[in-house]
Amino acid sequence: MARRRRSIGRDRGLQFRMYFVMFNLIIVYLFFFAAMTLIGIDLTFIVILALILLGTQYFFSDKLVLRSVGARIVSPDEAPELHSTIDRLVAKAGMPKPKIAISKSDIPNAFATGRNPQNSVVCVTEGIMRRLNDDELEGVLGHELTHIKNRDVTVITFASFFATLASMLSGMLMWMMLLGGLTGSRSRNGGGLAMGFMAAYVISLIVYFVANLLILALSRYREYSADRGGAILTGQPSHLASGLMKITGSISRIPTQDLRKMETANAFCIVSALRGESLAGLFASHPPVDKRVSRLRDLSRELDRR
Amino acid sequence: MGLFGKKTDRDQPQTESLSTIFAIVNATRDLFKRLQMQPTGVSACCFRQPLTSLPSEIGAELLSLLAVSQESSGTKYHVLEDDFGFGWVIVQDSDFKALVEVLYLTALTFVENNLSDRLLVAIFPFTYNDTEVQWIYSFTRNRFYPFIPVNDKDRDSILEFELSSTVEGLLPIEEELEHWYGIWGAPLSGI
Repeated sequence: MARRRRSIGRDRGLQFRMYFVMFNLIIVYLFFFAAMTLIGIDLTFIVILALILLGTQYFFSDKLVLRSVGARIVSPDEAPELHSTIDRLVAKAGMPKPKIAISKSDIPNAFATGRNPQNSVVCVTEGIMRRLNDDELEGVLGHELTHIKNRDVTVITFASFFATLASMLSGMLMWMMLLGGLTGSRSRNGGGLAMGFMAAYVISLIVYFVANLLILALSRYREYSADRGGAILTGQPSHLASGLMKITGSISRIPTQDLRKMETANAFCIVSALRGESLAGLFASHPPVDKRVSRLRDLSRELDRR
Repeated sequence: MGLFGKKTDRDQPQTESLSTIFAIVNATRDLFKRLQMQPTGVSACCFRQPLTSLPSEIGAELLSLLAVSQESSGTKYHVLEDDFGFGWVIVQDSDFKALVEVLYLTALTFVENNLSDRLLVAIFPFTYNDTEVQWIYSFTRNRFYPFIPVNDKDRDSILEFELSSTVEGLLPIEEELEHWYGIWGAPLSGI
């Protein structure tokens, strides 16, 4: 039974693609280092700077993200159903229970963050709780818990370390070239140095761009993987599928309020333009919903067969 | 049909757009052919205020209209006020066309008395497989949209969305999904 489970838990093709992307990322980064060494740019300073920056972000990711979306940690008394669903799922997955937070936003969304499973937060918005039924919410929570279990924050942080570094370097080089050009310092070696800076600038921009494309691909694979893991965790891929359809695209535009309530209470409220629109941006690192839904349907059939 | 003679010219634009409501009658046959959807035999109109708080002569005009149609075509009616303080006219008839006509005339009475801003929606519930789909007609937007309540506060948005594309061309569908407001617990259980 346990072995069978494992065999269905993994998607070989997906894992292969994930490793392939990571391999490419390493190649790009090695190229970056080799090129910088060849040009003669000392990266020590900027590596330390990037380490501090990303390190802080990584270490405080849970608190930083919660603050940025205005979410609040809730106790079991405040959100008993949410807590009991997550209790059930983490027991099944054999992982420590994350903190649970609720954001006041009406935009239907959920996310997980934190540097390791011991220091993680799952956050849901009020909008998602209003729109999804209990089953669908459980599907979404399964997806988020799988992100934590797969340590996706760590994976993406590490994957983007050198991309961040390249972008910082390109910014710095641009300023150096500008300032160098302004002061008009032209020593005997000045021309060669400027050429070197220029080359380093272009290379770090290209590295940043290519690395970002790879990181986005990696992020999409992690999403598929979390869909799959979450669906296996709840045993009901269709719940996550209908949850996804409700929180993205057209379905999320359909109001969840009673017309009469809206008429009597909200006659003066005009803030509805905000709803749903920003989702497209948020999900840029995510695969298209219809693809995720069709994969979940495949998984559903796969689960039915056994 | 004789009652249609009441239509006057002074509210021409509004009465014209009000007649969009008859699209549901024209669509009935195709709704059945495509989806096996059938009217439940009950329909309702919802108003922003209870009928009892209308000017008395208009209230009387409405009630006599309903009484006449009950007598002539056997369309049963029922008037009530809900917990939100909104007024309802509920009508029941196995002849769907007659139902829509009575609701149209009810709404027309509001329009003719310059009370069109009191009109909220008309609701036409249909049976569809094991569920009930309500086609809601908004008097402010003159468009239909589907509503499938699930228990007392949820709705099956996915099925609603699917249905709305299935019936494309049959009904003038509200294209702004943001306006698809549901009405939970509408008194549609019959009289």
